[in-house]
Parts: sequence; C-alpha cells; structure tokens
Amino acid sequence: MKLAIDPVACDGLGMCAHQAPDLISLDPWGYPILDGGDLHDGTLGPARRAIRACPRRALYEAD
Amino acid sequence: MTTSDPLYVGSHLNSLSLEIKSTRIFRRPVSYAGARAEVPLGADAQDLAAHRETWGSPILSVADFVHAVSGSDLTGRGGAHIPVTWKLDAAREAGPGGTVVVNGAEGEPGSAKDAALLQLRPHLVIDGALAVAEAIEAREVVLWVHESATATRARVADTVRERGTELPVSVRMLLAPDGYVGGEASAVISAVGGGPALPAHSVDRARPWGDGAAVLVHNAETHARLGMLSLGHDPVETSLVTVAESSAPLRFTRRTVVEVHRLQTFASVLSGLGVTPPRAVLLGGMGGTWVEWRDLADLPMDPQELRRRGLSLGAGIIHLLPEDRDGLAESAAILDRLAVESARQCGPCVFGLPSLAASMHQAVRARRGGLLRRPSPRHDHKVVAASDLVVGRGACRHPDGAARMAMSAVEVFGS
Repeated sequence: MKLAIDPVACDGLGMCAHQAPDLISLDPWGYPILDGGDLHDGTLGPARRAIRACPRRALYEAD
Repeated sequence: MTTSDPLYVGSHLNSLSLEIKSTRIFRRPVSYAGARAEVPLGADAQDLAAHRETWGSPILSVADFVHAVSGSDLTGRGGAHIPVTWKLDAAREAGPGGTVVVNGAEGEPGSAKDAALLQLRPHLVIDGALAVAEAIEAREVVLWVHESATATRARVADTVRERGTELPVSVRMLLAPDGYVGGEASAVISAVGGGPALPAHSVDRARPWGDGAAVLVHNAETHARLGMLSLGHDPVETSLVTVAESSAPLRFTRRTVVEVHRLQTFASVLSGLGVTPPRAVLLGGMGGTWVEWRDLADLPMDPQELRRRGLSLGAGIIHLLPEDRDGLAESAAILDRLAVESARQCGPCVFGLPSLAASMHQAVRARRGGLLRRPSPRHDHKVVAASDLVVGRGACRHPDGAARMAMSAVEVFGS
C-alpha cells in the first residue's frame, strides 16, 4: 500500500503534512509532496490519520 | 490513383540502393500557411467515391481486424505512443455499449496533421473508427473537434452526411473547447459523459473510463491507420509529422504535414521540403524535447530507434529553431504559453508552471548581460529545480511535458 493523491481535489490546505510529517512534505505553495514509499506497520498509523485529516478527501491508500 | 507509390528516398538511402514501398495516406506534403487550418489550395481531398476507389471497402472480419491490430505494432499517434492493442483489449473486456472517440482536437499550435486528415482523408478516419466500434461493440462514434476549427468541422459534417444511412452506429461530432488540455484523453472522456472538458484524476490508467462502458479515445491518425488495417493495407511503415516553421516564438508561418518512412532521416525529410537546416529542433511539440540539429540530422524517423535515444516524435511535431534565434528565449515563451494553457485544477500546475517559466526568463536575462556577462550554471539549476517541483504532480501530463521541455532546453542551450 502507498499513499496517493487526487491532485484535482487537493486544495493545498496542508492538514496531511501535520499528521504525517515523515511521509508528506509541502511544496512552496503548500501542496503535498508524497515520499512515495510503501506503507508499513510504522507508517500506516500516521498515513491513515493524514487521510482522515484531509477536508477535501484528496488523499487515499492505493495499491 | 495507386496506393503503393515509392516514397521520396534520401540520398544516403539511394546510395544503399534501398527501394522503399509503402502504402501512404498522403501522396504529397500538405502545407498550411500561418496559424490557419483551412483546407490548403490544390490539396486532394477524398470524397466517399474517391476514398473507395483508392482504399477499397472494409474486408476484415472483427476477429481478423483484432488479430491484425495485435500483430501490427501500431502505437497511438496522439503523443504517448501506447500500443493500440492494449487499449483495444481493455475496451473489449469492458463489454458492449461503449463509445469510440476520434480525437481531432490537436492543441499544439505547431501541429496540423489532425486538420489534414479530417479535411482530406475523413473517410479513412471514419472507416477506422467504425472498425473499432464493431470490434468493441460500441453504440456510438464521437468525433471530437475544436470549436474554432471551422474548415475541419464543415468537412467532418459533410463526411457524416455523405455516409448517411450506411452507418451501422450513431456517429456524432462533439465540439471541444479551444486550448491545449481539451485534447487530453481524460478530458475527452469527461466531455463525452456530459461533464466539463477537463482532465480528471484516474486511478487506473489502463481503464481511464472507470467502471462502466468503455470510452476508447484514439487520435485521428491512429484511426486512419486502423482504417487502413481494416481495409487490408499495411499501416505502420510511415508516420505523419508536421514540420513547423516560425518567424518568432510560436508564431508559425508554415506548417507542412508530411508522411515519412521510418528509415528516412530528419535531414532527408527537411531537404525534400526545401527547408533550411535549423539550429535545433523541439521534437514532439511544446511538451517535447530540444535536440541540436547536428545530433538529429542523421537519425531515422523510426519511433523505436528514437526511443532508444530517449527521444519521441510525440504528436509528430518537428518545431524548427532557426540559427538566429535564442533557444532559451524560445523555451521561456513556450513555458508562458503552457502556464496559460493549464486547466487550473491542480496546485502544482497552477503555481508551478508560472514559476518554471519565470526561472527560464531569468536564465534568458542572465545570458543577455548586465552583471552576469556569462550564463551561469546557477540559473540552469533553478530551471531544473522548478521542473522537479511539477513532474508527476498533475492529474494529466501537462506539467510533465513542460518540465521535460525545460530540462532539455537547459541541456541544449544552457551554460
């Protein structure tokens, strides 16, 4: 599993990066940059918190 | 009129005594003056009678057609060069009731091949679309044409009327908004479904239409080549390219659509057209790759050979940069245009493309003097960093193309 983003839905609110700072950084305009790695036990929790935190429902888990 | 004319053969090939014969769509290059896409004077447009006389009637059964496509190495001619058989198979699996879309909305200002095909060989394109429609049991064919392309629109409407009652499925023309991303496949799929003509984020790239009936989008040239297959001709030895000459960045003075054999070199194609060799070529269009002419001149126009060198004909555009023009300034103007053409849906594209364009303008100013007499690697690095920030971050590949073009500009014209 990986984190994935729907860039059309994303409004760059930045909530995700607060929840999972090790997985998600923000670009100069506040839009998320995903680290792209596979999720594992240690990162699954923050990843799911980041998904829940997105008011635009732009972040999701993908294969 | 015969369909097996010997092609123009470059001198280097003559010396090898190679005789190339192949079925061609166009007997002569088709030239468009300026930015207009009107039917050129003296061009041999084929009506239905001429089309049937030249190409014959469809002869392949569905099974034979599908087999011929899978054995043909035919790739999509819209730019991405995805094997046609992949998309065809996915659409067949999706079941009956789908839509076949002929994408004739070329957004590249330097391209004219969709216009040439739909104006001069519309029945060949329709035959391809009908063969695909039969193969995937589609319920309709949609011809996706730019709103402002009046000459093309008129010709397409005439063509559908000419076919009249012999059409086995519904065929309709749908008007694309002008601009660049309206020709992007996911934007076309959205529009066919009644939505806005804007690129969408697709989770499964092999099935961009989602869960329902297939919406199979292919470029006009791809459909012409599928038409040739269904009519029993071998389609894949040649490609259509547009040689684009300009007097200033993106101000095109002449666009010539020419059918090239994969063994022809770039130099032989240009000399055949009587065009002065350029300083460099932007290969594939605004989102393509800059190549110095000396590196390109002797390469064949063979998609696979080009791919081995990291190059692609893309949508078939050969944008010439004359000796007296600055490649970085040209690139900056193109980036400005690409930034304006963004569909403004994805943040990294909305903010990243103007920033990328600004970094290129800085590199141009640095080169023109002032404090910095010499172009500095610092400016090149800024362009590369701005490119990295947009790659892969949009719903469509619009930002990726801009980044590719910018990085190749730095490589070819940078310090």
